[in-house]
Amino acid sequence: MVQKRFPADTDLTKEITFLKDKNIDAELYSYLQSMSFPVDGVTIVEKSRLPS
Amino acid sequence: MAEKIGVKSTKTFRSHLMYLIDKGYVEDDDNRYILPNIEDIYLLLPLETIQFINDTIKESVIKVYIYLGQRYKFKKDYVFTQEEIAQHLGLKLQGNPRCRQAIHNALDILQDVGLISFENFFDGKSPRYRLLSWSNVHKSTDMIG
Repeated sequence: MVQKRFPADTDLTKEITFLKDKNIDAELYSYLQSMSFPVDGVTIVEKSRLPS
Repeated sequence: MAEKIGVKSTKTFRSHLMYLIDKGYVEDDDNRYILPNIEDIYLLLPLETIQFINDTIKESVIKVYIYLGQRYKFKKDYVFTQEEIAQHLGLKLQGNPRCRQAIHNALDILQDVGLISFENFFDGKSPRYRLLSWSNVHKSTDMIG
């Protein structure tokens, strides 16, 4: 499983906590993003739209 | 859902999700999840800018724009070379003078529409660019028609 898909720039990773954190499952985060849509300026994912 | 993202067990999926929630990248809100706009992940672009670059600029130039945006955000007095941009685009400069010109043209057009500004100088070996500004708003002109 891919854990990180965000820019592979080692200089930037020193300053971006999201990129530094190896425990983050970026694939899961990307998936949630792909299912998200904005409502009143808030980005949401409806749980009912996610496969069980 | 665990299968969808390539996680073998539901337990692993839950623990990965809980980690995102613990760190504040995802908020569990009743029947929905909220993805807060966390500045260190996103480059925020107004819809008008996205439409503008999508309508007018080639994909490779958009890549350069985003690449420079990430660096402008996190690095002071950022200086870059044509080689660096070429590498980002997966191109090889050596023996390919047209490629140099294309990169210079990409930077020029981004500057012309007000998305970046830079100064170029020569360090004795190759041209270098100092990124002076990066903007998420292009120069606007009155709409025709």
